[in-house]
Amino acid sequence: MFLELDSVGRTFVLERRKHTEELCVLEGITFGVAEGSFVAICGPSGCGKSTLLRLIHGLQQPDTGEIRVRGERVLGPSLDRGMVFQHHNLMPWRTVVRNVELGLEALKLPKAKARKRAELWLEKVGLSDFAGYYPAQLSGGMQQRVGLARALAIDPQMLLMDEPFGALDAQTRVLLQEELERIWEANAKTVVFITHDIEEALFLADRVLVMSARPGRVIADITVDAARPRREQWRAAPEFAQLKGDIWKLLRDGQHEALLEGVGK
Amino acid sequence: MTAQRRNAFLLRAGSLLAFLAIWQWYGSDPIHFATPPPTDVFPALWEGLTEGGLLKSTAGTLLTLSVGLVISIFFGLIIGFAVALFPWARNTIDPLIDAAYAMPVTMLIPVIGVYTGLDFRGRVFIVITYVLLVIVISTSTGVRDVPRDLLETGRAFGLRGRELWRAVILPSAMAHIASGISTGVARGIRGAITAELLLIAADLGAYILDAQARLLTDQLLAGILWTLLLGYVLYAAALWLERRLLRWRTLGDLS
Amino acid sequence: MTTVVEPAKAAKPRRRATDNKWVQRAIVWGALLVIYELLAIALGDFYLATIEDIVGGFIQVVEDGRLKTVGESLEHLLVGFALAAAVGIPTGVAMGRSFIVDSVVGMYVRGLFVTSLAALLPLLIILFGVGFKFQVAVVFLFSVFFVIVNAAAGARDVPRNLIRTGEAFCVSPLRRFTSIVLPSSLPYIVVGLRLAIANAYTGMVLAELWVGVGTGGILKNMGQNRDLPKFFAMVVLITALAAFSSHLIRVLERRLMPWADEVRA
Repeated sequence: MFLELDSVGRTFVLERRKHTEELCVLEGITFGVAEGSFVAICGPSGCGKSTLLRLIHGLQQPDTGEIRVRGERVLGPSLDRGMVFQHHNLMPWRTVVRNVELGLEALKLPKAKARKRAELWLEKVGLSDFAGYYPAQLSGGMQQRVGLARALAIDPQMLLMDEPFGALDAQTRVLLQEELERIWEANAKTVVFITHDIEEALFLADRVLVMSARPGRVIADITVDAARPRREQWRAAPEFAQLKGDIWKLLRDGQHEALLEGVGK
Repeated sequence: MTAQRRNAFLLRAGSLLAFLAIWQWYGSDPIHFATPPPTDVFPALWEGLTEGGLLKSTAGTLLTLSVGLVISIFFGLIIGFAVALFPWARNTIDPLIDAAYAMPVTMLIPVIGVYTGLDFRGRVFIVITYVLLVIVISTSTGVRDVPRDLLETGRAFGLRGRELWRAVILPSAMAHIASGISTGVARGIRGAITAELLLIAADLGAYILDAQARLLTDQLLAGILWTLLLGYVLYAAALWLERRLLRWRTLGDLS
Repeated sequence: MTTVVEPAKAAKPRRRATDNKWVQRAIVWGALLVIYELLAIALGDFYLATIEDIVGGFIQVVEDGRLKTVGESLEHLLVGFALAAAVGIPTGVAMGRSFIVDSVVGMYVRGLFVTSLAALLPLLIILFGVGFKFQVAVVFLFSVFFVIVNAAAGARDVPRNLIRTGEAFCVSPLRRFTSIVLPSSLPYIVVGLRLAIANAYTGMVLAELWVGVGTGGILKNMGQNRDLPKFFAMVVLITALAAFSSHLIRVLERRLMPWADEVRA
């Protein structure tokens, strides 16, 4: 297994004004991801999906359990893993190409090489003409593409994506999903993709892991058997609708529980 | 008390003690006869408060400040609204206000006397020169910066003219205006003290100048310390008032 | 059936002469000057100086060699301001990033920032005498707190996401500071410098009025002799210098930081 999670749990301690509160965000997460596969994690808001991704990357450490990549424990962030965020998180004072170079600086690539590589990836996401622009001058979809190029430029073994298209309008989202699919086909990497959009998960992934509401647990592991490359037609297929219904039912029951819990408080 | 707040308190207390210790050490050295240590200054402060007329001087300063503030706020609001509503203001009045704000008003002190007299009126005028512009700027900015969405929503629900002002524009502008008034309080005390030191010795300014002239160094430092504290306390009070009046702004913190 | 709609030809909006900002300025400023002139004539030269008199006063000021004195005062200003920047920026950034620094130093900064620094003048004379050091010290004190408070605000408000992004791309802590925290704080720092320079002029004048030397001393003499044309000429000159310095920093702001929206002070 390329990526393994073993009984991973995470609890946050919040300091309120008069007391401290414990928030159990993830509980007993166990699953494995094969190399080169595309796994989507789907769950309701607040179920800890983003936290899970950060644990996998190494930005935070789990309170219980272990995360292993290629058999070795994950101890901290690494350039073997590239991250794409929901909010593009581009440095506003850097031009587009300089933003893509961010990870390359830590790799200590010589300037000329870094520039070439950055420009290459900008071309792959279709933004060559905008290399000298500032992020504020680009549209939301373009900004996300820069974020994608930045993560891919470091040539990571694993790509971690946290609802990367969540902040975009529906049309841009569909276009970027297709673009991501194409890029992934051409540069096979292991991808862990977080989303709350079921259709997005089904379109892009080989497997969909469904999470419950807080505390987040994996409640289903659904294989998506559709042929690659995935195109428009997959969305219209009856299996697509079937899977979507199944997942939605799982999510809704989980959501329902969470709502009741909230009311009870 | 959470760990963080306790640590902050300890660090601050420690810092204060360190400051007093250094001051004590520096002041106790006979060479630094002009800067007495806390052990001389605090008793002098106590003496000033109980029998030396420090409180009376403070009351005088506060009176000057209050009158100046009230006049500044009254006219500042009016002028601020006028500026916000005058369509050409942005190009014509704003640059003038910016220049006036940059001007060191203390420059005018040598000539103020003739226009206003050297006593109470003169000092109040100086306070006004310090405070008025801040009120004007914050008022005009507050009125101009009402979010367009809110205005549209108001109009969509049938609010017009005076009602729109009452329900949307004024509450939205209040945040800016209140902040401007707090800043005005801080600037006002500076204006009052400057006037009392440079225009004509009066109240707290006189207390300090008197101590300086008579080479009573512990009284001098006591007076300076008291004045500094006064300014700080006034501003903190203004901020507290601002926060109370604008409860809705901070409610988000409770998340 | 879908119909295609032809966009109508847009009518060109009429531009009126009074929409031009210089036309407006000519009208309003012209009117203000006329009102002032009438007022000056009506009140007589004991109370106000007419515009021609002020211009004459300015010529006399130059002939008297007063500009040299102003130049010397400006020297104090620049030294004090430069010191305030050199001390204020690191202090402010440290306060914004470090809880410890903020707790230890913050209360003095905030206390002195909002209170009357003029009260300190007698103490400063005791410590520094009445010469160069005193005047630089006064300018320094009047400027430094604006720099510190604004730099602290900027350093504190660095978007968390950008720092996390730096972590995710394995940017070292030192480089995170230099390439994320500092650029992000820069707009605030520059605003602080812009506010500080105007206050620096106040400090410069105040110190000189107190001791009776330099530009302040000249103003004092002119005021006492009721030499209003020269006095107002000097006031206009210094106001212009102060406004220009402030404007200069604003221009610098726009050139150095093309990505930043103007931060409202």
